[in-house]
Amino acid sequence: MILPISLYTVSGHSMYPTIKPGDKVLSFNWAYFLSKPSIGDIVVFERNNLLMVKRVRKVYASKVFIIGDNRCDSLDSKKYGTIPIKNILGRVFYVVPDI
Amino acid sequence: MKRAIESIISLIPSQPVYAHCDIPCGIYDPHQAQLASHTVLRMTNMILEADAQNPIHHIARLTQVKEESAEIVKHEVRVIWGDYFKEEHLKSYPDLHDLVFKIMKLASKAKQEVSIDASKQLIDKVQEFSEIFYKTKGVNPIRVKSIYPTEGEIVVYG
Repeated sequence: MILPISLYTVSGHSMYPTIKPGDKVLSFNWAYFLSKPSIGDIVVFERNNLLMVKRVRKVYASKVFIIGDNRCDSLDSKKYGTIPIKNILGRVFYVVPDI
Repeated sequence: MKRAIESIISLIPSQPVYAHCDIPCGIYDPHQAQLASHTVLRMTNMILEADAQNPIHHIARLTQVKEESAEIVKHEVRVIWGDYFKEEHLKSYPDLHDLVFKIMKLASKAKQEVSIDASKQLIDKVQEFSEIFYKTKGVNPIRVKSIYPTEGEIVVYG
């Protein structure tokens, strides 16, 4: 059974200013058991064996288009296409600022 | 209370999650922007030096490279500004946003016109931007004579 909440430390600037490098985020792992992601959700997902955090911009039947809040050089769905919803681990619901 | 909870959370072990490209980057350098800004001036000079003997094809090629180089300046500066610079840098360099804004406008002007003045101003502002970048990296920026036909200077670090 997957624990309901996971804690992650964020590396990188692509979610700036919402999430800064070093911030911790709490993710709800049961968020999409019964429902699909919504536009605007910040999600933790797996891609190429790396855990990544981005924001959902479009929702399709089984995939989502994700994008970083810092548009300048975020490597996201603009470059590598959509992400299967099954690869989403959870929805970020709280950001703990790096102290 | 909120602060106390956040302090406790920050002590809990966590796993990394990446908010950037596929791999952690951190490789930034304004050198490409400087190079491109000198190319803009070089193309501007060559367009102005071209005479009636030059086929339109030649002018078209120079103009294309001028356009592309100005766009490279904008892209490179935007990436460093958007991805590298952080709030703490702004405390030391409060005019950074204004400087980037001016670079964007000058690069556009250098595209729209065939202007030596705009091209030189673009080089100058990109150099200012480069100096700020190198200072934030803890190295000493130095202006040295360029080896390009445009002469002038480029900013390196010692």
